[in-house]
Amino acid sequence: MKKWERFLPHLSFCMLLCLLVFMILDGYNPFMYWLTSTVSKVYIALCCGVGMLTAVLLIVRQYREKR
Amino acid sequence: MKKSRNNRKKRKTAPTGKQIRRESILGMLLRDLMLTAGILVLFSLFHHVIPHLTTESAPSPMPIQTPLPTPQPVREETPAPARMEEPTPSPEPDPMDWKTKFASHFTENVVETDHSYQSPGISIDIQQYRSADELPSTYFVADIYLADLESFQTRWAGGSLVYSRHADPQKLSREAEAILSINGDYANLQETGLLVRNGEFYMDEKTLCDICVLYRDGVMETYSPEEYEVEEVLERLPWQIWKFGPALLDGEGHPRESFNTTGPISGTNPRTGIGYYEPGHYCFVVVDGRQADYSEGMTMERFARLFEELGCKAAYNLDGGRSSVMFFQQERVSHPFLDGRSAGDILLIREVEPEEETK
Repeated sequence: MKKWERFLPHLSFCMLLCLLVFMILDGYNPFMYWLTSTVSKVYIALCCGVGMLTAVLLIVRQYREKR
Repeated sequence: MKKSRNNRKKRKTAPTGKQIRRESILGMLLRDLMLTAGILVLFSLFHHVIPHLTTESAPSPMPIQTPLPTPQPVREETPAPARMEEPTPSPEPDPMDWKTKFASHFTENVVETDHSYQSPGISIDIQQYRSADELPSTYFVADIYLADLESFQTRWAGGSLVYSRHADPQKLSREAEAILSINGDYANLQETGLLVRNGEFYMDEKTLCDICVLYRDGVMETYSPEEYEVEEVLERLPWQIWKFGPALLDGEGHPRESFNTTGPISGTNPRTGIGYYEPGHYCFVVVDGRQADYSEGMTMERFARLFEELGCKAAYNLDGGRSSVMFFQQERVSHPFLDGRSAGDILLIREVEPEEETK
């Protein structure tokens, strides 16, 4: 569990950084479908999943510390 | 004594807290960087490489031949029977008989120059112009008259629709024996859209892009997404449908007030477009750009005004930038930025035998 707590924020940060790169690329050339292709939609869903998981772990950790 | 010596040694070799923190931060940054690079590589693999590889082996979508239109009866006035005194009215000219309509543009035998081609069924004349704008540009206008709509074709890279496949447009021109060709709309880069090519139906999903439809009666029309219904378009038996855009002119041949596209594409760029005057009469326009002291390119607004100046009733923007290129007799006419690039498809004019079936 502690390993996931340490790894997930890094994974979340890197994935969201990549998503930012894709958004910038999409602005320059939307016809490469950086954000609208099937692969992109799956990637965005994964980003949401990882982000939510990171948030949940952080909330749980804060709750435990409070107790 | 010994203890203090050992302690002194330990104090010299043991890293400080600051050093430990610096190294751990650097290590962390390095690991995050590698993780980001790995994610980008994985994404590119699934977004670009694997689709290209797997769709080559998978059978391409089977094109569905749209049935040939049932011949429309020529609108002729039937002569009044048994009344010899009344004169018989002469039949109205067939609107599809472009050979007669544009007879002055066709020749009995093939006549070629370095910028024109005339034959019994095709007339092409290419002119180079220099715009007198603040950012001057060089552009090429190919004026096209056709006796048969089947001379107006498109060709996929590799000969069939495969997602993300591309090829040298000059090579495609040679394969198709094109007299005139330009780059297309890279339609195989998107898995959705309303798509018909050379009368073959591929897909019927509406997107947010404008479309351009060339119907079998020679009429060319452009539509924004809210201006058409898929079923109505398909009912009219389209010959070609392009799905890049945007449409450049409104219903009266004036530039649209706004264009259905994004900021970077609307800027000053090399451009490719098609224009429509009337059934059987079209034009291809290619604007060179991104080359200082030669040709800067055009904005979308300027490009639309160009088609208005040419007198077109409808006009449509195709893939531009480095893709923009025009070939005549399979030799390059325009000067694309950085020598051009490969294309997913091309538009072309070629001779067809009257009974030849298109692929």
